[in-house]
Amino acid sequence: MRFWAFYRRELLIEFRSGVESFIPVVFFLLVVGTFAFTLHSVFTGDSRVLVSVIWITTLFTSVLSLDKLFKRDHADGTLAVAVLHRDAITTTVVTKLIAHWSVTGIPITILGPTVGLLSGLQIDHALMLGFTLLIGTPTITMLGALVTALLVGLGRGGELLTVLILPLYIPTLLFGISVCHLHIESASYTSELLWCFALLTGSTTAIPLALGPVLKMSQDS
Amino acid sequence: MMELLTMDGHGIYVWSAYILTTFVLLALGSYPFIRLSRLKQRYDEDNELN
Amino acid sequence: MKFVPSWLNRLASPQHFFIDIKPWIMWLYVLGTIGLLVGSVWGLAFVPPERYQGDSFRILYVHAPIAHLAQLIYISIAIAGVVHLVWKLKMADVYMSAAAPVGCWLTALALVSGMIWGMPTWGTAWVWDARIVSTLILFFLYFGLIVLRRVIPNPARAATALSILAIVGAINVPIIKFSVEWFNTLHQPASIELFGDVSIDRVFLVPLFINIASISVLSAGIILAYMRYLVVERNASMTWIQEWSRGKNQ
Repeated sequence: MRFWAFYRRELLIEFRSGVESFIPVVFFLLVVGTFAFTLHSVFTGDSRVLVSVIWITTLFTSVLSLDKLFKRDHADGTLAVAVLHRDAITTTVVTKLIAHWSVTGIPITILGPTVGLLSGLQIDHALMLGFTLLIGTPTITMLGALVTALLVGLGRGGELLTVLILPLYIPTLLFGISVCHLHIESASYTSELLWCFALLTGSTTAIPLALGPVLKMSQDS
Repeated sequence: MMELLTMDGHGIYVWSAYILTTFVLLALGSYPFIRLSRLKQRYDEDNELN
Repeated sequence: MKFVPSWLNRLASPQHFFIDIKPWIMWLYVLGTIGLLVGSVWGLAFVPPERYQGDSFRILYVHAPIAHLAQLIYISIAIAGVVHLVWKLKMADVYMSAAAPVGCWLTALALVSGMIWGMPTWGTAWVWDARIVSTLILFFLYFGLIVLRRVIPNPARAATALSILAIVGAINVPIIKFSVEWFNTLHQPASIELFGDVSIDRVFLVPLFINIASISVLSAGIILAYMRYLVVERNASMTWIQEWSRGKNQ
């Protein structure tokens, strides 16, 4: 019950900000569109390039949207109250992350393959791209949230966040792209897909437990 | 002796790698001592003022 | 804390560390330098040229030990991070702050010496080879640690943040290596092997091991010297530091 209340609250806040909540989606379309337009001749020869571009743009969109993940809650004191509840902080943070993923991860999971289809990706390749994005974006959100939590309240974001996060994203990116590439080449991709799942389960179980203490520390100082 | 320097034309690569490594290790090794002596100097000046 | 030897317990206090470690630093510097000189002269002058690469393989004796150590130091930083999170040891934080820049420089050095080695052997300085890419990412990870330390003004918070980033990074290091390797074999089956399938003769290995051991010893000395400097900088208000600067004790 509490979960749904939190979840609803997060989504409401997100959508009340109106046109601002569309920034990540527009950013994603803009970057993929720019690549698709300038590299069009390469895309038509090899759809693997398109898949890689969509995956990489997903990472950048994620970093862009992470910036504001804890910013407002820190500014209005919600976070300071939330960390006082030792037991509740994990639930609160996980709810927050699920809400964040619902407004960034899910749209990209839908948009990515759609853009791919429009640019000439075959339908089963596009579906596989959507599937890897579906299991990859939660990992990306989790890792990103951990690093963002380290920087809460410092008034630093943007490029610092990017430099800290992108190296940690490399395995998720490479395994996700590998699955798509192998699928396009009609080769076996089972082990790569299992690695994607391993990263997903590992990050979604371990990181929420660490987030509570990290956020508490950011409020103490 | 000359052979050791030229190394069949590979000498320039080999020697530049070794010289670069020596240079970086020297810099890394002396850096903490330079900083420490500067710090001591500053403390000494502060002490004289007090 | 019975199972911890008393000398180790003593080193956990900044003041005792500052006094006790001084002779060790000197010995580590001397030993490391002598070992490096012996190993390098041996590798440069007394080892026969390699069959396929000729003389340029001699770069191996500086490149490989440094690349090896760069990874080792990152893992050690993560271990110090665990120690900091569990026992809140001040010296673990000092170790992380001291080792990160040293590791960063060594990683950069490994990359550049690898590029110099690549010129005669591969005909190009840079190849998107698995090992090179994972070393490059290691460099970015080190850079992230150093930057994170700088941007957080509160020392206690900076130490905890550094520990967490180091631990997450260290968990990632093998996965990064693995994923990069895997990804690369997908795309360029003809990966470049250092020595092919030829097993390395013992003649080539002895100076390599000497250099690996010596560079580890020397780096330990450098990191300890840097830690000693950081101890002085962070405890400036303590009386024992002021006594030291007045020259009352060493």
